[in-house]
Amino acid sequence: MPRIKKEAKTAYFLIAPAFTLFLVFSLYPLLWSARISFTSWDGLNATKKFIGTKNYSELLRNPEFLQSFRVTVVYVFVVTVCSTVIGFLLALALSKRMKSSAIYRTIFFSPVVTATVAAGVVWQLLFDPFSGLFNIALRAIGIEGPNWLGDPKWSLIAVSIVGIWKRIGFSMIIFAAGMASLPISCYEAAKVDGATGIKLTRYMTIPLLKPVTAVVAITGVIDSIQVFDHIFVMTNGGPMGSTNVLSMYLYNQGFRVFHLGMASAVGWLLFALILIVTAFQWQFTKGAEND
Amino acid sequence: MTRKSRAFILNASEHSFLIVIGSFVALPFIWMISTSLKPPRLALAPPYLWPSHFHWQNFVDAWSDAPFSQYYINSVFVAVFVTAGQVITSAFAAYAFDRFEFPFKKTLWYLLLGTLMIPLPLLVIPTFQIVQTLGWANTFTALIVPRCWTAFGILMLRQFFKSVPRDFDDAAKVDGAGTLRIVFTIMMPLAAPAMATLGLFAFLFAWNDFLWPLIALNSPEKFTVPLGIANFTGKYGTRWSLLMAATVTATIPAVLAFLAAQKSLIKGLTAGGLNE
Repeated sequence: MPRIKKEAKTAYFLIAPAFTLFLVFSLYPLLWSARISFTSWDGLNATKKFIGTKNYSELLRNPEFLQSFRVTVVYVFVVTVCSTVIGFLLALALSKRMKSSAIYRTIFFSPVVTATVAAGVVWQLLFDPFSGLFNIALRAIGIEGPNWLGDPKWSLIAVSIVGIWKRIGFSMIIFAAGMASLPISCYEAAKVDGATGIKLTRYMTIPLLKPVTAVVAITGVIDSIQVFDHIFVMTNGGPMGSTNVLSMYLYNQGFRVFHLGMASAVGWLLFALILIVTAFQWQFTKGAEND
Repeated sequence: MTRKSRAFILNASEHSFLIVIGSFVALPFIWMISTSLKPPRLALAPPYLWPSHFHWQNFVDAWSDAPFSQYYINSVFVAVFVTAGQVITSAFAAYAFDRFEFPFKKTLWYLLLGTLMIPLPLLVIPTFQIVQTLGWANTFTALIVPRCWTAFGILMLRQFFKSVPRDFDDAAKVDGAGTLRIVFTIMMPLAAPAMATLGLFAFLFAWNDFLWPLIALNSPEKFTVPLGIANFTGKYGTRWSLLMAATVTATIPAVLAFLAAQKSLIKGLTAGGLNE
């Protein structure tokens, strides 16, 4: 018994630094913001007036918030699906090429380590309607390209492209690791049975990689649902709210018009959204595994 | 179609796919470097990739128009402390979770894992209030201290510590080594690739962090590099050569750090990512 007690003491001592920071800068803020989300606090007043669920009900009726919600859902869906599919295909194509894969891997992964703010500035130049590379290329084949970042019809597509560009490498690396750990014996057996190329991928690789796909998709959602940096520099949520994702909406509520109660409510809706999607995806992959 | 020709088509389409996506991913980097070396007036002229002469003056101008050297010093300062903090707190906690039994172990573990799902934008509002109460508003302390722990790091290191045989600890204990000494002199060196990965991640995270510094800092002389870039963009919105020179300097340390530790980074990332 004393030995166990001593062990626990040592363990708590070792956990203490991380855990203290966790309590002060994660758990406490989380609960505090839950409380604030039920008040009309503006960040300055000493009193935080309790107003019940008014912030939430107001948000759910506010067309600007609903637009922000829609924009975020589209962004998350497009970026997660595209980066997952492209990442998978890249990992698949690279899995057979040992020689060239190192250089490709470096290229695909570079955006992951690049500051999103800096990347946003470069993409802004590429998307420039007159001197941007995209429209110059389109002009060369006789098409007048759109005003990517200035036209509400195209702006969300433009910022989504940057999101996909940033995430492909991450999905690729996780898929590549998953593929490397697949049992070779299954493949040998399937090959003996005459399965080749696409069939092997369709009936072996894809089903076996379901848990890996779940990880890539869930981290994709958690990541892209919080998108802020490149949108802040590229469009600042505009034009006409067409790229005003939830984080931008939260930032504007909290630090431009100082509705901290409202901003906290937005944050909690964001959190709830993450929990729902994650639970749903786990359930989905679990069900698929049991089939 | 014969099997051979089908294999050829598959191979060719895979190759073209790699090349298309590869060019798409590399394009912004290439264009950024190319534009940063063009004379300012020609940055918008008909496009060409290879500047006829390298206009290094852009870098000089960008660095003298905005205090990028100051931003650099600030960023390095913050990133180094965040990295050291995350590596040490994660190694301690990971060792405790892997080697010891203690009350509430499972509860604490799931609490930590749960934090991976908390959106950062939700946390910045209350964290800003806490930081103000502590008197840390507009200081580097505000950027460093809240960032000195990471659930991801604890998770990843625990996976690596699992593979270190307990005999090592026992042998050290017989020799009279305390727990801290075991962590520092046995676990951390043996899990060196994992430590490198975590360190690089922490560094990149701190170096690229934007939303939190944007809120926590307000005096320009304390700006980190991403804040400096965003600020510079507002001021020089159309002077692309200068802007690109600035972004090149912001990007290069991160890319170099990545290239240096690429192997262990990818290894650690996949081990951590797949065990979430």
